[in-house]
Amino acid sequence: MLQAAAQGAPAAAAPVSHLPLFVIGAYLAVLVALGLASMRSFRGTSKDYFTASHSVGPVLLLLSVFGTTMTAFAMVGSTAKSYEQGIGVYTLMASSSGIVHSLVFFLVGIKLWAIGKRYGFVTQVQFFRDRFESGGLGTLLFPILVLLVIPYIVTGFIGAGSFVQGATKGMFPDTFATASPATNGAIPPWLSVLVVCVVVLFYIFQGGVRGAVWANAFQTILFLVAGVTAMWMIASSLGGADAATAAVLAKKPEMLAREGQIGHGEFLSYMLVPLSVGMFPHLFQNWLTAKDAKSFRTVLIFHPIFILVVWMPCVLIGVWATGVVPELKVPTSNAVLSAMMTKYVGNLFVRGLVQAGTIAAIMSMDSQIMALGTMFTEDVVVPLAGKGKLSDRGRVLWSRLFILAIMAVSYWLALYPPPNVFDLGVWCFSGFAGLFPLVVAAIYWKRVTTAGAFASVLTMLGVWSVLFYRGLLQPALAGQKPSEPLVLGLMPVAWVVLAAGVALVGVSLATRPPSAATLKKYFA
Amino acid sequence: MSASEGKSASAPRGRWMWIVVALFTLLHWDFWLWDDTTLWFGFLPAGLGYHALYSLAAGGMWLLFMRVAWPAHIEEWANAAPDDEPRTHA
Repeated sequence: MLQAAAQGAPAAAAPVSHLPLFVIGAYLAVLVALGLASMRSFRGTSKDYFTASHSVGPVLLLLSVFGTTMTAFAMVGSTAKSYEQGIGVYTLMASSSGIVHSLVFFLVGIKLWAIGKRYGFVTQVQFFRDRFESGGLGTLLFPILVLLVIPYIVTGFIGAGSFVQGATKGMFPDTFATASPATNGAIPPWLSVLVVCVVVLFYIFQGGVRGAVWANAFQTILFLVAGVTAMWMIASSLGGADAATAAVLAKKPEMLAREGQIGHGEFLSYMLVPLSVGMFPHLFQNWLTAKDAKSFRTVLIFHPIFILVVWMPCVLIGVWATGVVPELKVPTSNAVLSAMMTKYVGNLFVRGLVQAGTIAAIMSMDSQIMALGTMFTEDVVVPLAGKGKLSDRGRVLWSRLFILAIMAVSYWLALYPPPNVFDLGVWCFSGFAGLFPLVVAAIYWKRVTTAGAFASVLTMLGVWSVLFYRGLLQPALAGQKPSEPLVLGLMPVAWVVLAAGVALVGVSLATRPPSAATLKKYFA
Repeated sequence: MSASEGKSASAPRGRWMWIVVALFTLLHWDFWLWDDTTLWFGFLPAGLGYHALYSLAAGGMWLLFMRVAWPAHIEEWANAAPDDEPRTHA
């Protein structure tokens, strides 16, 4: 049957089994159960809701940190980009992240965990307000962080919508009939994303950050297994990994190298993109859940290896997709992963499991949503209400309300997706990376000043906005497919980080140093 | 606290590991494999195979880093009572 499908037999007429959908449903039910279980462990305090009372050990920390950094960008985005650009995608983002992420976890993560634990900070904004003796800096940072996280959440929603649409093609020909054969009878994105929203909201509302950590750990295990299984089964259906790669070598050999696909300047400047993890609000919150500093050791060592396990199968599947005959018919490259699974994973139960695993990676945007709720409560509501005026219950309620609002906005934005979630993700990461000089200076440089911090953030915002408009927004509004937005051969992130760093150092050296009390507090 | 941790509490140790990290980071730029479509094990393009090994080696490097340059003092600092309360700058 698989061979017939591969040769272009009229599969549309054959009845499509709903079994994979039931397996995905079972996965969602497990998430709901985890939400209920995490509620039992909830201690009723806002500290527990926002930091899980600093109780997370090494294994759970590894799984949750990894789960929260690997989203639709890693599974759907990497496959889509490899389908367009070949194996170089792994070298651009995966192997570089393996070294840079762990480096940032060591240099920034452990230090911020220690500072947060010692002084009781729950959000990045609280730390920056105190470190730079400026409420205004926090007020400036809050909307920037929110605006950068929202597109990241949206990539998750878009990934989920595209993936489920591809995976359920032909299942409901009467209910969801469309003119396009690529989407006819498939669950439309508006519906699948809505279901994802409801499930994520449920377990976050029940257990707070603990619910997100548990769900992320479960999701990580599932998608680590799913990626490898999908690669193995797809390779088998294509006549083995040798035959799958040989088909690409014969048809599109340029996909197996980087010459003509990726420039050296682009490659080197991509190394700066993973610096973004140093300023992810959700990672800050994840770090705070750690029981002790030693819990980070497991994260540092296994993070690069886990990246290999997740990205390698996705990149190979994306590259192999360029060699299949007849050519894959997908509405956008975001649907390549689901189309390859639907076409080449024959066992329906296994296909459902693999698809559930992929959705698991996509759904790990829960931590981002949770972090935004925490930031809104701690950085906006609490300062406005006055210190000690808001009860624990009130804090949790405000957090939930903001989470609802963010979900609604993200859902609406996801209905108008860009052609490639990978590109949108890289833009978000570039913005966060532009704030990396700020966090490093805040931790390690005594001479950094409040004015320098303001200059750095504003410069980052200005440079990033101009490049984002020029690189993604303008072509998208004109109905064109954005190309790689290189500036003088380098990725925009290089210019954003450079400009923010220069502004930080230049203005700091020209302005008054911080107070002795602050220096003693952070550098004693 | 172990002897090695006690030693690290007084001065950062294993600073030479930063040279290893820098050299390892440089090895990420595999310019010599840019146009190489040779297949390793019959299916893995050379550029991809190299970076798969690089990812594994990164895990090994961080393991070594943990053993020789772990900042044990940070735990103690985090758990110590703060000198002052967090100030509000709303």
